[in-house]
Amino acid sequence: MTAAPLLAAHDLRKTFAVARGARVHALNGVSIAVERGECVAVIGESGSGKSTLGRILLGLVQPDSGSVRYAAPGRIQAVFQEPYESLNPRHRVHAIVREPLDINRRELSRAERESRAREGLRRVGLADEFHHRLPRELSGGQQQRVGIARALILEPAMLILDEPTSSLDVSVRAQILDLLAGMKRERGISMLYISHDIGSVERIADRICVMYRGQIMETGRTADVLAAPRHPYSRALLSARLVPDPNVRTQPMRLAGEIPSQTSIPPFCLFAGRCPDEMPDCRAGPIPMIRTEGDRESRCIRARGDAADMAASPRPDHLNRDEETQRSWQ
Amino acid sequence: MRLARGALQAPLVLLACLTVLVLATAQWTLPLPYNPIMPGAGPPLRPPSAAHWFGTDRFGFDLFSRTLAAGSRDIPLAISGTLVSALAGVPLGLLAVTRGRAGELLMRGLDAFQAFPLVVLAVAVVALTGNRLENVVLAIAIINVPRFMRLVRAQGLSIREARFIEAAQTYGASWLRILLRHVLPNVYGVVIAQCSLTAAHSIVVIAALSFLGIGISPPAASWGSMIQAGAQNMATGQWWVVLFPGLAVLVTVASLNAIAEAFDRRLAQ
Repeated sequence: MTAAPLLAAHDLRKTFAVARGARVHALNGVSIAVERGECVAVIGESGSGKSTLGRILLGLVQPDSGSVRYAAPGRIQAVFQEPYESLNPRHRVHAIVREPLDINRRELSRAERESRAREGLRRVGLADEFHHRLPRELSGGQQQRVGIARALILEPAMLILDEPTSSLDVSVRAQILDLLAGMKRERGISMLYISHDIGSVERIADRICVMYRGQIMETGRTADVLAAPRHPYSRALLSARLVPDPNVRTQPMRLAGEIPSQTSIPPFCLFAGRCPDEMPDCRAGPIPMIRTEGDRESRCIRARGDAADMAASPRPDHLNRDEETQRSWQ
Repeated sequence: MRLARGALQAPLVLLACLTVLVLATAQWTLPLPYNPIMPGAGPPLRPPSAAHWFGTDRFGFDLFSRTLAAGSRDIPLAISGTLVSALAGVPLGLLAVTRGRAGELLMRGLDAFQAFPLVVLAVAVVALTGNRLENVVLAIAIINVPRFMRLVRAQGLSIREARFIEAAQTYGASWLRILLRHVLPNVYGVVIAQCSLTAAHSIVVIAALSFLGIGISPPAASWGSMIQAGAQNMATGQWWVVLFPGLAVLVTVASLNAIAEAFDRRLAQ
């Protein structure tokens, strides 16, 4: 029953050279698996390494170490954050969508490739009148539909979506999310959905991975993680989410400082120093992923303790912007 | 097909094409009132009149006949020089966009080449290979190929980082395909703008070469040599000697510009 996952990445590490010989640690040992038909969301603030993870899985960047196994023929395809920038401004829409076929399906006649491209465009909701336009003659939502049609044209088993809705209006965002959810439902496409928009993640993802400083801090079913985040970082990240009800007052949990320098990575918990729940043991050594219950995991030594204790996560009104009070939670 | 139809639809572009065509062939197709290479067609340095529409210069050449005849040499030379420059410079510039040793080597070679004063180099090459009109084209190319290379490389380097290049990699586009189908169409705009600049500059180069006795030599006319000769008369008030060949250059360059722009608009695939 337990077939190998469609995509399995193990212990990916990546550093980038920056000025004066320093190296930025973008990924510090990321392992992630995506099952067939599953949508896994990777969330985290800017600079957490989520885009680098996507680029490595697409083969655009080579990791320093670690492995990626992809158990399907063909390539993983991608939908990018800025739809306009991901489309060649000199190519017409039908040619953009046809190009992956031109490269990978040479055995098809040109007419066949063209008609498949047109059909692919219609399936993402772009009528024939748009097929001969240039990208700049389309709206942002239409451009992203072109990007999605191009990603789907080779019928990939998996898509990587790097913040596909972040540059779109809210109403258009909902349409694109509906489109993606439909593709997942009807064709069983697996997805890795990189985002910092919790609202869209909630709608489309089966599972969530919370990233911070190039590590996955917590993973679990979407509903579970959103309802009761285990890791203190997840709690802070999710407390910043807006609730679509003006009467509900949320108070974001404030963390001290920014993401610390990525050029030196300490040999202990990467959240130490900003964590409201820090204990002396947190700095004793690197923290592994710890299974809390079912398929949930958290990279926090408190997860080792009583799972029942952990389940009682603080309610939002306990959160306070005052750092002193935050420290006295437990 | 689309290209031809679009170009002909715009009346301004049609007018520009006609102007260039007429100016480039006037020597053979228009009835010139005087022989353009015959001195003493009228009294020297006369202002425009019914007999001499553009006046005469200090040798008594009829400037109207001469201005029209000069275009038949200047325009074909300038256009072919520009095309040769672009046809050599654009592929070399594209090649220099690729990562790795080849591109780097190409650019260092170009640096060394450009360390020579190129106009002097061009003159030397023409002088060594013989004073023929083809060599004027070669001289224009020597001066302008590096410019096209650098331009295409600079533009290509920024395009190489674009998201749509990354997207093309995700569906397996080869580097050759990326260069030809993704980078090249996005440098057409600057290349075409550079072409109309180069064509204008070439007319100046042709003048400089003919001043040195290379390429077009007297009594045959070129706009550049007419302007150079007429410059001496400006101070003494004979403005017409410079004005009319100058206007001819202006009209030609403006027309080439309009044509280049029409091409640019139409090249979007």
